[in-house]
Amino acid sequence: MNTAKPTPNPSRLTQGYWDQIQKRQLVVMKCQTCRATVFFPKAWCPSCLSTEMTWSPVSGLGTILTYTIVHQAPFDSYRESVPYVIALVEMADAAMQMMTNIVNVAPEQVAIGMAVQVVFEERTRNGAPFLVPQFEPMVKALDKEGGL
Amino acid sequence: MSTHPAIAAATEIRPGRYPQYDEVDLHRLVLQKFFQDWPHVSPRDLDGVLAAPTALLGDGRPEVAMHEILYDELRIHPVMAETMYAGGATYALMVQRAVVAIQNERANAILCITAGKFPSVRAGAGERTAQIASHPDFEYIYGAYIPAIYALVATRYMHEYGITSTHLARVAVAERQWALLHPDALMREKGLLSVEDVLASRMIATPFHLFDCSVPCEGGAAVLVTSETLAKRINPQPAYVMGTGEYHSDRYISQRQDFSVFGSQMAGSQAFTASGLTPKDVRVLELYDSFTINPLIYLEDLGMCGRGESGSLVMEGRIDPGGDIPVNTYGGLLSFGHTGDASGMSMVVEGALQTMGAAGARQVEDANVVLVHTHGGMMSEHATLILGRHP
Repeated sequence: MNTAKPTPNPSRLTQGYWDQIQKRQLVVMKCQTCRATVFFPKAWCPSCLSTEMTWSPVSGLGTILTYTIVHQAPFDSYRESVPYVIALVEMADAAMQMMTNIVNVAPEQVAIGMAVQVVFEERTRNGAPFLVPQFEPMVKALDKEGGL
Repeated sequence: MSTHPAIAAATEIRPGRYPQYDEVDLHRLVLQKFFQDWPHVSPRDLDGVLAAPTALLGDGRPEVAMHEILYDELRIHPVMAETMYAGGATYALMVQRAVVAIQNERANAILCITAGKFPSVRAGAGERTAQIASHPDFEYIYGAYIPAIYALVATRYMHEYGITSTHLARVAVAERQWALLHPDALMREKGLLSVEDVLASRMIATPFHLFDCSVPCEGGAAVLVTSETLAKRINPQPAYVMGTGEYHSDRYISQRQDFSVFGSQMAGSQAFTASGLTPKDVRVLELYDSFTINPLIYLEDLGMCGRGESGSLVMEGRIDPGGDIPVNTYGGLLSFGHTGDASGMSMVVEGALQTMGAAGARQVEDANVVLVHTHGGMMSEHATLILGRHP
């Protein structure tokens, strides 16, 4: 039984994203020519076909567009986590939407429209620590830090 | 359609488990049953073969040139042959490609065929389908797999339009009623299902309980698309293809920004425009139903009711046997069975049989216009057929 949660195999297109994630910075691809936001990462801008793409930081604040509480997991490493939440989160400051788990909250408290923020979960890849972005409710941060 | 192409013949083998056969063997069983069911068709009549790749979900050997295996098996030399793939939408698209070829007089009798195996989730299908359905960097790592991905669609759609878990459950209840009328339906022996049964079944991924999900099994089916002249020789009442539609949207769920309308609306409206028919003309619907949310979305996207009205429509029993908008008259993937790679052919077969008046105990009276809507991937590709008794 493999209890290690999956990690990506960064490709030529996604290596830059994962490098920034390891520095605890959520990023999105931006076209240098027309400023379009591009996610998932692409080799060129689908709007203007420019290949001048860079990584731009995003705040990691967003809201839940939709979610599900998973009770039957597809593979062993997540079987230990049931029930867990999968959500799509819309970023507050970028035209970027991503899948994530919503962590550090009781699943039944998760709702559409909930404000969330990025946190970084440590997994193991090739024997070394590897960070994966996850999201938790904003209110949690207020508790921890006494306000923004 | 000017030359009136039609589905002249349709056959499906009994869904179940066939441990002694691989996917290619299952194709042979489909062929055997097809020629038994349709004695006026012989392999020599066929000049086209459309097939699908095998074993994307099952454990067998993947065949990407299945059409070659089939024309070798039949010992024919077709003028049109291809292996094509668009997930569950593959088969309604095969019919569409066949219709165009017949209209262009490229071919006259095109066999569209498939067979598949869907292992149970516990036998590893969860992980395999997760790898097929989710992006390796941005989705798979979050424990996403097919039921959870469709659950994301359902949660949002229910939020926007006031659909409830009871409405979802009522779809499974209706389809089970239909399955009891089909001698081959996988869940026929299980008897009727109640809304309470569905809501009491184990939760898979909210809002889906076990009985909101289709039943994995193995099987296969084929339809023959021909010119009008040949169709009439084979079958006194062929299923004429009145209109078709096709639309391809986002491959991955996390790229989808609008959960209020799907490719089904675009594909459906193309098919209505092409046929000159309207939703009011449709007597029966066969709608792809990997999960209970799908028929509810499709009833609304195809214009059979207004937005947010599908829930009360199913609660009133209107999609049940005897209802005025019968849906999935063979039991659907929820109760007839989900044959994995082959699943999208089941609704094409049933749509054709209803139109032909050959659906036995489950035959809907006056099934003059039947709409088939299928999707592939994560509701990515959409294909609609409108079938009719009178060209």
